[in-house]
Amino acid sequence: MKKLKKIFVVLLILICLSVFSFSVNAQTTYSDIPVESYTYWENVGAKGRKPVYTQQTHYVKNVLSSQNLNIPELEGLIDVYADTKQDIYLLDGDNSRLVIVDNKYKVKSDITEIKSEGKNYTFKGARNVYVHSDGKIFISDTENKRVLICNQKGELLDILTVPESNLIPEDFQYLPICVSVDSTGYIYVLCNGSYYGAILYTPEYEFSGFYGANKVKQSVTQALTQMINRLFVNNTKKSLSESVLPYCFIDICIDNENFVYTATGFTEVSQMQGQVKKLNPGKGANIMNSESVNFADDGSNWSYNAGKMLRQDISSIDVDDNGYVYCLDRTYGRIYIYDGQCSLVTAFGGGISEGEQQGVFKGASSLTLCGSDVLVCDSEKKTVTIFGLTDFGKNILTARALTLKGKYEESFDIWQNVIKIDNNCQLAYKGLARAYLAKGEYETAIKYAKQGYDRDTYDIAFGKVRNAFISRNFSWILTFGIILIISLLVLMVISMRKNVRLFKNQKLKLLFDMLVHPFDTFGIIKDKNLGSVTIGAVLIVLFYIVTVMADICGGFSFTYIDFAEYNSLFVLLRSVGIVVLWIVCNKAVTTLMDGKGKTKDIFVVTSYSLLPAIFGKLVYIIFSNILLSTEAEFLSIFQVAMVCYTLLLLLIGTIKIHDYSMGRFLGTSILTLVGMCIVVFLIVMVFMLSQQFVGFLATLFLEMF
Amino acid sequence: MKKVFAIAISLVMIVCLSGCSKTTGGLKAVKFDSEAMANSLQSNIVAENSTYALQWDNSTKQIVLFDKVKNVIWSSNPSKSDEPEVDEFGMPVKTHPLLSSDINIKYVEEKTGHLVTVNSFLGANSAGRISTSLIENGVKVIYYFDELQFAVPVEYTLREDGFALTIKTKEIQENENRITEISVLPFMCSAENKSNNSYLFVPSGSGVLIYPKEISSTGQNFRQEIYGNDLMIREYTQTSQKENIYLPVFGVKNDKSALCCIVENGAESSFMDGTIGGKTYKYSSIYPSLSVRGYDELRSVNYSGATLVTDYYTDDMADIEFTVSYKPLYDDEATYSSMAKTYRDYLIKKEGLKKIGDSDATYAITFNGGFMASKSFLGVPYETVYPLTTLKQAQQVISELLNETNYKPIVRLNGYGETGLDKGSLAGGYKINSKLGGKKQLIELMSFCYEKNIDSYLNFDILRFKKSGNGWSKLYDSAKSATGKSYYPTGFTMAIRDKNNATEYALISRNQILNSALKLFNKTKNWDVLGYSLDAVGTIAYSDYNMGDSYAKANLSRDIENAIKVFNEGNKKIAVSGANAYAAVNATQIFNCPISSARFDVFDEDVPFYQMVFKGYIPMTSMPINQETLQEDALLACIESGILPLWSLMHDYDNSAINFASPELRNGVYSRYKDTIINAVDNISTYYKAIKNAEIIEHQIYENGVRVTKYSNGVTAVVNRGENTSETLLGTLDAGEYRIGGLNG
Repeated sequence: MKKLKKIFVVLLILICLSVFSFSVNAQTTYSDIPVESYTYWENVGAKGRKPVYTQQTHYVKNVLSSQNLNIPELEGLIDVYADTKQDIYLLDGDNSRLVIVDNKYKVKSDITEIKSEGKNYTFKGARNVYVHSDGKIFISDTENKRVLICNQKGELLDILTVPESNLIPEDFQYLPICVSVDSTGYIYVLCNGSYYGAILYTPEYEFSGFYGANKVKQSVTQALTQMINRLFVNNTKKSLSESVLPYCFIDICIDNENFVYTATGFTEVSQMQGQVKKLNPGKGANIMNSESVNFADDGSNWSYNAGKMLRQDISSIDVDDNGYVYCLDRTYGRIYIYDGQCSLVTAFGGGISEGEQQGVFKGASSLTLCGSDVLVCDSEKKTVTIFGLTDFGKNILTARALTLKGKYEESFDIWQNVIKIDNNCQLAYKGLARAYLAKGEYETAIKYAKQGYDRDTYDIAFGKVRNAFISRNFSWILTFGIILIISLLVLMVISMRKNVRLFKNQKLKLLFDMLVHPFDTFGIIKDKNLGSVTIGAVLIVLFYIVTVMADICGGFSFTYIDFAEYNSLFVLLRSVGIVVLWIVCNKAVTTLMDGKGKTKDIFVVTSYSLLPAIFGKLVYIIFSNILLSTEAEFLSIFQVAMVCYTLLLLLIGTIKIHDYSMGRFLGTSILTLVGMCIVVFLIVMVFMLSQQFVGFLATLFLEMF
Repeated sequence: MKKVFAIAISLVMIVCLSGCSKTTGGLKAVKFDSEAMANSLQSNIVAENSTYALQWDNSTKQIVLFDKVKNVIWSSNPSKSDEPEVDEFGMPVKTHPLLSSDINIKYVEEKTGHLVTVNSFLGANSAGRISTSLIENGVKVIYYFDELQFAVPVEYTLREDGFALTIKTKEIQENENRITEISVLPFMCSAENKSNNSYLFVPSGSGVLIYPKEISSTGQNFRQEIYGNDLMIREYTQTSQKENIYLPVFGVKNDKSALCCIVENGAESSFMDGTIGGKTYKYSSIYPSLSVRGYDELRSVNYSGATLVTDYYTDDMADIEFTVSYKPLYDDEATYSSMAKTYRDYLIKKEGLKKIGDSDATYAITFNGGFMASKSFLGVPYETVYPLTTLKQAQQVISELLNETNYKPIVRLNGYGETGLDKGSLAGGYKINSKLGGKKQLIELMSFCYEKNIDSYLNFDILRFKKSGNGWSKLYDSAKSATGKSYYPTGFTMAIRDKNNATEYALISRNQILNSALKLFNKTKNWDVLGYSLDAVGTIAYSDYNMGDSYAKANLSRDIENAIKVFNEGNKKIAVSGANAYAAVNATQIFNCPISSARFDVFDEDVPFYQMVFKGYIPMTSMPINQETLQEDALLACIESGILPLWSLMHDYDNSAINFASPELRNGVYSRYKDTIINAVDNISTYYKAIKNAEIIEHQIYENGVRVTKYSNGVTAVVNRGENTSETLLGTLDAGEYRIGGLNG
């Protein structure tokens, strides 16, 4: 009986356990990265891009160090690489060591010498390791000026040294810092300080030439200065002048289609663009639209390091099978993931060279991919941090890849998951807009395209909706149009026959007559004093209103303003302000230049001349909401025409009221413009001085209290 | 004319002189007495009880605790007496002087202005004097650093369960060299680098274990300010974010013995330091360091454009009585589980921790009210609150979740004041934004929660404000930095971690915290608020150099406790976030409990120590799990530690939220999370019902990532947070699964 009781109790416990056992699917427990991830929203406003917090795509999966690998200290750890079998290679360059770790993070071998028949090669001072899919290991033995090629056992296969060729300059320093090999066996070697591009070897290890190279970027001013200098330079000056050289490549990697990706590294602030290039295998031309893309962050940190500016340094890159480019910024210890269209997916990591926590860095030196894991070597901490991909990360990378491949509908559910976890994901809004477009749900596509500032998708969806509307209502639109035209014609005929005056007010009539007969009208205005200050003021106010309306009510495809930062008071300055300034300065100048026009005349002429510009803006407001950006030519031409018309009216009006010749008009106009600049300069100076004075008073107040 | 001139000159003088003012009101240092007699006790027992004897070792000038029952010696010098005196080459083995030092001192060298460190072995044992005298139940040791002309008295007293160390800053003597920091017994709490079955326990975040290891010759150090960084110290950039140290307790386990150390007084002004894996020391250790002076870092640009950095220390010291107690634990009690119990017992006995007990809720929801969005009217920009969740919508969501799950949540309303989630006037301007429902809707919601017996808390920030108003002035009522001037902390831009001046805010002066709480309580008396949530008081720590008693964050716990008491005495429930020990023990609810540590490189294994201390006493919820990187893992962490999972929700979302200065609005739209919440709550509620009011009596970690939590009522939770399927005491568990045992008692 007792036994039965015991069995009963055990059974009961088992039942309880089975009943009250739940399970959730969870990931393994690892660290969050102690810095928030972010991305940039593109096309939000005129500034171009805006940093926005995002959900983390990666987490710290593991940290490899000599302690947890149970090996002697990796004192000079400088580089990490993962091969296709996901074995990890840790290069301790200072100590001529290459540690190979398997995908379970167990040490496979610890190579300190490359063996050859009767001779062993050490690689102290090596800076880079690369392993080809056939298992060959390429060690960039920088200090020994060679590339050692060996097998997995550490047996020497070959050595690459400086090629003997006329193409190699005499002063060329063969200091290999990076090697990569494409699927056909061509070897690309980057040398420290070489601005000729990569040295290309054939699969037979023969020198083939230089491949790719950065070009010197010059602004228009720099080019002009250089041209002038060349014209007037003497030999002494010439010998003292420095030649401007392009930046060197600092890292190189090759994708599965043999496209070569290069990283340029540290650049001047003015040249923080195009740090990553995708070169085609043959010519080495950049086929990625990356020249105008800043692959690092826009700002520069001045506060850190006691006021010395921290500048980006994209020093290491890798590329995955979907064409995502992973860049490492050594200065900030940050990893950026870009898609094939140079859109930033996420930025994570950090530490600004002081990272004492897992996931941030003190001396991030290189980056490599191991499957979906991102490995970052920290030469200061002497560790390799392995970042795993979160579910969110998997989703966003998969969905974006599908979208870029045009598989919009396949990406739909994944984007829905992405947006659940991250409301702030612009790529998700863009992806969903595309997916809805593919489904034929154009209204929803428009909604998402607007949310994601995706003007391309918006255009397509809007075009579909507009065309559908037109086809549905074509008969109505046609009828309405015909009736409108007929009505206008009838109205015109009647008014001409019966001599009906549309505008009874003579001053108002003159305003519209001015459009057709500007010489006569401005003459009448001047001679008979028929210009109206009220109408002029109304026109200036109208000009301001339509300028603001054009900014905020223009069609989505045409509007590039960030409502969070837009301020119509600035528009007031650049519209009404300029008009007023013109009037004041023109009066001042023409008074000295025997101009006959009074202030009122100048005001009237200037404000009346704005009428075409106002009309142009109104047309823009209406048609930018109807046309697609691809049909915008008409609008642009019309806008320019209206501005020209405005200037023409201003010219005629000014000549008339001041009784000037053309030459005198041009002279006074130039002087007026100079006067305007001086006034603006004075205003800015007074503003700055008063600001400083207020600041001084505030400081005094704070000091006292 | 002369009068005007005289007045103008006087004004200029006042202005100039005021620029040279320094903060005053702190403790004036006693002058160093170089002629003082240095008495010396012979090596002997200085105090004794039935279990322990406190001994003074005059040869090493160190204190020793002898456990008479267990026959174990606890010394501040961990070097073993049986260690060889010569190495393998016959050369004498030198012990690092730090191992023989009871205190390390950082001071500002008068001549150079540099910060220098000296240890007591070199500065007092060798180049100075050590004076000892008997005091009640112990010994007072004065370390005279004759060359440097300062002296630090330390009292060691025997207690029933161990011993304690006390430093009174008012007894510190100094002349020109100014002491800034004192580290005590740096190797008392240490483990040999090569030892097995040892670990150091650090209360970083939820708590963490460090396994001894050899890293390099000097090892790796880490440092965290107890209760969080002092916000009154200027921060110029932000390299990363760190979980705070919420509890002033640390410890070490060495095989079958352990030491639990508690910073009983002066924790606010202290740091937790660690020296891990140094080959020269042979030991890894944890110890506290006391800041005795206010500090600020000043930067200025000189005429050539170079930035000059000046470390500014106050002339006066903070008046602190710093006490650390050391309690030995043995055998089965030599675990971090027992350390948690020891610390909890301390809180009950000394800090008044009471058993509030858990409610019927099995999950928690934070509703985000609104945020200040930039909008424009005809192109003219203005800021207005964008409603993310109105009070009516919050009520609808609660009703829906009640209907769908049959389980009650704990509700927290966040960002319902005048400026929503953004900082504005103090305590949200004592208003409920009309766009979010206003006072009328709040009363309706509170009445609904009362009827349904749902714990609900309305969040207010009574410490931080951006603009003056309601009687609070940003200039006059804000805390001052060590320079005596107003300082307003800011957030940082996410991309370059530089200051974001748009997020600048003021901290209420420390002597106004009580008034701030009182004003909130009085202004909201007729709002029918069921519970107040005071987020900031649990996690924010700062000094105020308006008054002498709040230098170097001193007495922060007193000020916060007084503020919380206003609500306790008004019979209102009070919730805090985080939360630091002083706030947690006085609260009826803790939101946003840490579920991980600060993840320093030297840290090895996170443990739910925080939860082990408070579970069964104060109800707790996790951080918003929808904002965690690994959301499913965060849910597992909740199950492992017995705290309720919390979701942070909003009803609506608008793209203008991308401009919000912090990341909390990046997710949590209710319609998208509804199913996730309902499924999770259905799964976990039975478990949370079963562990209601139960304490955690044991927590274990296995190598394969399996973690076991045992409760006082017999319930056991096993979670597999490892990578692979594992055998556990409750059967086979796949990675990411959990299982509960003992539900039937």
